[in-house]
Amino acid sequence: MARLAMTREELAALFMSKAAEPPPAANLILARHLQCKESCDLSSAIAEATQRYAGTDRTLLLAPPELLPPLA
Amino acid sequence: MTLAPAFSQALPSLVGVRTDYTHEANRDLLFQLCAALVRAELGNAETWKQAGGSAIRFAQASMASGIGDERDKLLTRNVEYHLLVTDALDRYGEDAQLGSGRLAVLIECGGSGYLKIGPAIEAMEAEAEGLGAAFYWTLTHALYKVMRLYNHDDALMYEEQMHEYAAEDDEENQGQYEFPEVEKALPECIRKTLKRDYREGKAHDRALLRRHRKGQFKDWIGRLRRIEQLARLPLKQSREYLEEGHYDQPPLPCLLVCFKEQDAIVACFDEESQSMLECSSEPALCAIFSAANPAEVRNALRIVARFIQINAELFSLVESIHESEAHRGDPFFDRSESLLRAA
Repeated sequence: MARLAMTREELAALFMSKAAEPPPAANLILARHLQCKESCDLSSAIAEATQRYAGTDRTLLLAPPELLPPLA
Repeated sequence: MTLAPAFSQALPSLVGVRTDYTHEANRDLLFQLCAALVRAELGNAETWKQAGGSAIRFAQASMASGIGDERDKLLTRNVEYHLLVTDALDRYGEDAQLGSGRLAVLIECGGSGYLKIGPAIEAMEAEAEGLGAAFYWTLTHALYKVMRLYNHDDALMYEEQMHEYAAEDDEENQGQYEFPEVEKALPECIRKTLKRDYREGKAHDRALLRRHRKGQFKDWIGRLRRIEQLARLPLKQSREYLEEGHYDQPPLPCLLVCFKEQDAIVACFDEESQSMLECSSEPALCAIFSAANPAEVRNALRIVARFIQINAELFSLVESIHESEAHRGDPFFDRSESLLRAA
């Protein structure tokens, strides 16, 4: 038999138990990165690069030679 | 186009890397809020299922269900409000944590509503002398209790300020000032009652509106009565925080009330609204509460519910007044794009 949907009391109790739990590891990692200046700078750089690449001017970024192997 | 294969030593593969993270700062408070919303019957198991395990989405959907689709559409058509629940409030341009497990529910106004009430006043005055003025004053005083308006009072103050500036300025600059002459732009019934005794006027207006509550204007008077009743509820907002001076100016007006299109009140509003968005404004509503305290949650929800109910009644009235003007062949001038947003 399928389980009936949670009652309001059960759902409220579920939320209160979640409120008492420690934050998940992924949340903590993200929180640490959001407090790290280098991580924030890196994400800004990626976001800016994405903006440029997705822009309407079709300008391709120059690939740094040390990252991409030559095509030939 | 041929894409070069990824050089595995230089570019890391994205396979298996999570593409989204939900960062829930103060997640304990967020889940307490979710529990409070469930207890207030604003969210249920179905809402939680649809939120896909996201507490933020659950809280948003629960609050949206409390507002209701119809009311949401009505408000969106007429005014620009933003409802948010936050654990930090603005303090001299920076977020300051409320602390002690407290949250604040705020409603901010980003664009005023618009009511051209002149033709309605005229129609009511034709029905009975003083009825239009009674309607205007009763609506104005009821709304003053719950929201900021921009009306003849603000326009008169602006005009007075202009006269003061002109008086202080050099004589050769006097010709550069244009004065809006607000009092001349008011309907006669409003001008006549502008400086009457407040208590006597209120009693007179109430009696007049009661006599006509079943007449031709019963729908408008009925809505006005509901607005008045809601405005009288003794619900105290958390004004003390706002009055500590963290904001540069009072809330942005939720409603511009004028008598005619492009009258002196509109002209004053257009001038003043140029600078309204340049500094921080108090929210239109602020209620601070602890999510773990059921009485405080109930009080905050009642404050928000009252504000939304009043606005729903108000903008239903506004739409009804404007529709009746349109039926009489008076074209409605849509100011929705120009109000505040242009500033």
